[in-house]
Amino acid sequence: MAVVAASPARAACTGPQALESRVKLHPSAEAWTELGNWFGDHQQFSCARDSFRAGLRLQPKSPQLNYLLGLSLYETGSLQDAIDPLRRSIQIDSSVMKPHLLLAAVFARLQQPADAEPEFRAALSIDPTSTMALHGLAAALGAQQKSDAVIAALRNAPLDEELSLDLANAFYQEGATVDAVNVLSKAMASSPNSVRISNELVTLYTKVSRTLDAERLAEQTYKAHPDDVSAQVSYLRILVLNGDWGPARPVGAKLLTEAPHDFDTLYLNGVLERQESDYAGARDHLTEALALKPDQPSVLANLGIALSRLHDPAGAKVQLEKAIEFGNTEPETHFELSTVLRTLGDSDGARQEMLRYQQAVKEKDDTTLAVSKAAEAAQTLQKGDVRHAVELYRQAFAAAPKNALIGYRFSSALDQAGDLDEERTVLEQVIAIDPTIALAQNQLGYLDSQRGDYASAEQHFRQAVTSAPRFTQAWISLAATLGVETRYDAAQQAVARALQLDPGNTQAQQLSHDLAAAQSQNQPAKN
Amino acid sequence: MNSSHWTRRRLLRALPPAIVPVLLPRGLRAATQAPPPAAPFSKFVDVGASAGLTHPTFYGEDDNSTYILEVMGAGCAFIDYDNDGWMDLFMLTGRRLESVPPGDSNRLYHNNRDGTFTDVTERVGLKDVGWAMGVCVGDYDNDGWDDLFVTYYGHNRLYHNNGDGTFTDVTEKAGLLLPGIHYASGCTFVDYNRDGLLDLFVANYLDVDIVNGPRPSMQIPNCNYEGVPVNCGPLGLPSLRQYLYRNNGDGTFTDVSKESGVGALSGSYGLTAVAVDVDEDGWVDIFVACDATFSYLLMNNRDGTFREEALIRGIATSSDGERMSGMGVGVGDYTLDGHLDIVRTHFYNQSTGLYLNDGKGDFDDVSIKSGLSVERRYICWGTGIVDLDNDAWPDIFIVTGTVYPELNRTFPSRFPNKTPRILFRNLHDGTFAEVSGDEAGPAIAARHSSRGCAFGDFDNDGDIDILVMNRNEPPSLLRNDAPPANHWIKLRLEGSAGPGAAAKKDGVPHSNRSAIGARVLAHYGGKIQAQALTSQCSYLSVNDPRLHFGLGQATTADFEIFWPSGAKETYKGLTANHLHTIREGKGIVPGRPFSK
Repeated sequence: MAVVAASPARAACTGPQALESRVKLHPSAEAWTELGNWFGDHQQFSCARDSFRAGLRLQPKSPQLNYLLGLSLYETGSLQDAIDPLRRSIQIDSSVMKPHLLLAAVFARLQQPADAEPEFRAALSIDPTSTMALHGLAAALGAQQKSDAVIAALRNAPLDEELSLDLANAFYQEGATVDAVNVLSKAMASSPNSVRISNELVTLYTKVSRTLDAERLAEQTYKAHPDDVSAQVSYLRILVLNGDWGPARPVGAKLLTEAPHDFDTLYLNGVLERQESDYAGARDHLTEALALKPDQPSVLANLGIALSRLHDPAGAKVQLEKAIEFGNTEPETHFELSTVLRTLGDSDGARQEMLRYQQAVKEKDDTTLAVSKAAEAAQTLQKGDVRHAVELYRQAFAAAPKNALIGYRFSSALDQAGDLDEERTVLEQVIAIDPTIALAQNQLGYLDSQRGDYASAEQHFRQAVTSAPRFTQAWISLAATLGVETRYDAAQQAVARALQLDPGNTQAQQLSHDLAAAQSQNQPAKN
Repeated sequence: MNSSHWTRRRLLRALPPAIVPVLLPRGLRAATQAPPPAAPFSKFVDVGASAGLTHPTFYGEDDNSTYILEVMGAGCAFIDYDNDGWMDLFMLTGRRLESVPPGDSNRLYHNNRDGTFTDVTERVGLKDVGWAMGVCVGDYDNDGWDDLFVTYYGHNRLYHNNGDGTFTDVTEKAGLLLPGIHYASGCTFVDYNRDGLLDLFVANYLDVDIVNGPRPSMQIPNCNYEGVPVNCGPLGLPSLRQYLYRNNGDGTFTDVSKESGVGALSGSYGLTAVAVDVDEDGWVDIFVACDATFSYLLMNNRDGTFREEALIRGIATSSDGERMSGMGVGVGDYTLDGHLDIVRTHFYNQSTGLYLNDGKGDFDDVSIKSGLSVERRYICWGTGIVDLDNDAWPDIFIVTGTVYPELNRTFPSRFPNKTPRILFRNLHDGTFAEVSGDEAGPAIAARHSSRGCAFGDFDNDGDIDILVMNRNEPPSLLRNDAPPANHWIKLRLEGSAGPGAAAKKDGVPHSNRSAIGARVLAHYGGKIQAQALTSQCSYLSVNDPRLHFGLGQATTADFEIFWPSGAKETYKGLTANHLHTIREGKGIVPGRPFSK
């Protein structure tokens, strides 16, 4: 008999006569699966869902039906509901890739990249070459700011266009700009006609100050794809950036004809006109661009400058102040605002803005110095000159004392140099700047435990796992510390979490074993 | 499953807005080039080789560099060391990083008065090898003989002119020998406290460690350019402090950096230093071109201290607030408004900066308006606002050269190792037109990697010739063959201060004997032109101390002289085509020989 005959939803679902007859006359999991698949093929996902549910009632341990139910729920947008059947499918048979992929996709869409990550990894363990799984894993890791993990995942993977972009971006985020450029250059060589890769490589070249390479590539792509607006925009952007106004003019004019209402068209033409002292033209195009994106700080700043040059200091003041309000961080905006305020007779305001300008410039210089010194230190450390590296990191951190990352790297070098006292001092500075840096908290916990201050160590380990709940080593450290404090239950919970994150972790396995043994030995004493 | 889900991220696509702010600081415009006036212009011929300037000026390697100091080059000077009325030439040199080439040394070339020079370096006691940077000239002991101060990466040197054709290194005795390695660059003698004695300002560039310092690298952000590993800096390297030494009048100096406020300056990479009274208050100020950072303008407080006001006076940056790579400095009055304007040379893609002085020491960046911004292809160094064709309107001359020789391999057309000279002719309306080599002679189009240049009349023929320091080549000596129809006039100024502390004795203000810091207004043909007598100018170099005014068709000129002591004197009806020697308080006096 039809199991779902009474369902009102089912009433709206009508499949092919043969399939409908089959589920009515000989209801079986297979028959429902067949009908559900028919609905799925015809985009009737609610009907498919009901069919799969009916099938599951007959065969609840079918991994396939659980998967299909999850899929149909995913397609109807019931993401949360899709999780359970997908998990069941995996529990029943974890060797099938699709449920892992789908569950990962569900988590990704739910903005839970940390949960998506292990499912993508599971999928890849089944098929290491799965492009889809690699894309997903890269996305999940990227969303968690784990650029190093993206690199590890993709470095030896077969790269398509998308994966190349992911890997290049990860390298860029990690400061490995040469690698980033190499990845995209290879992708460009593989897909010489790809405007997208070209545009991204142009941008990357620009970011790493290879503006001539950027211009050369943008020009090539522009000439090969003269009707592609994105190629035109990319070329115009680099020409404007390089101050090559001669070739920029016709490209800007072409864009104004072919994509007159495009934001980039209006913005870049406005900047070009401003640079060429056509302030009225700049004002008009930047105003149009602003209508499309009202909170773009760069547009506001350029418009402010154009108005200032057009002797409209009041108008300029409004735009420049907005630019700063919306996040423009360029020191020159403060400089221009100072000039405008002086013109308006606001001497105090002008002075304040000039001070902000100077401060912003100083911060920029300090950052440049710190980043350069830190890069030099890393290079020196690689060569094995720990002492020199420590000095370079010291200079870097002194130049940017609010940069927690440089501080942490400094502390690592001190650790290598064996200067644990200064390492502690620096780590304390680091967590004072940013208490969520789990690596620093973990290391401080380690140093505390080394000198027997387990209470303080526990605090730091707890901070570490709070900031980074998937930080296996911190869980193990916390468990060990709790064990030393004979708080075995809490210790076991912590090590269990570590094992949950990394079931094969031998250190955690051993610790779990040791904790159990110690707990059994100490039980009578506690009583 | 919707496959678009898998390709949802476009992180790199998010980058373009991030670079947009980079677009902000530019504010340059290709000015319309007006045709130059029909009147003939000067022709320049490089007579360096025939004049005997045959020693190469070693400075790093030609095709690569490890550290920034290898590419910074050095200055050169016009100095009449033997007071014979003919300008001698002093060339600074560097070395290779790992070695000293045979024969390498700073060189003094004695003027043979026949268009040739003789190398007298060893004979006069100036043989020295090192990373020399800047030179300034002044008679610090008021004995009537110009002395030399040379800055180095290493230890600076003060050479006392003994008046007998020799020099003595008196650095230590004068109290100017600092312990440790310093990277001094610009220097200028300056009587900042108006006691008639030349004090000394020394600019410092940056802190570079040529043993363990960072080397060209793609991994270190400030150690590559356009994707090519190059020498690191200046950004990313620590800056250094600046120094001011007060002349004690007994041949020694006291470091007054702290009490003068100069020592507190920080954050900029100092290069050329020029002492000039920009606000016309009778007290000499100091302008320092700084590389990639804010330039300094030290305003004289008239009480032994300075206040730094470059930013509020509009000369620290471009008009957009962009920090420029200030290398060289020229001072002159290109608009003939009687005020001293400043030209400052810059890096690739940066217009040479022209700053119009309102007479109160406030400047307006007119680089675009003047037409200078049309030329942004080269790294520019030595410069001057000088009237080359004697048409009564000062022109602008610039020498150029790369700091990244490695780029030539990758981008030979965009970044060649050797680049031409740049000449802007004054169009008499506040604008300039670039003059090509075809118009001004092959010496202008000739390509070198030049640094310092100095302006002076080596052959006493009534026009301004140009001495150029070329990296790893012999110097150029550009003989100016100016249009003969135009007239000119020269002034040699001599302060009345006597040797040592005698300057203070009689209660009458006395200027240092070299008259450094003097400001002169020339009135001729209905025009007025300001000039200053400087101890250093251009790029770490020294110009002929005889002030030269092109007069066009005018045959006489009147002068107002604002002596560094604060005294003012007026002279009327001085005849053209002559050198006039004026001694403070005494008037026109017989001077050193001058023959055309």
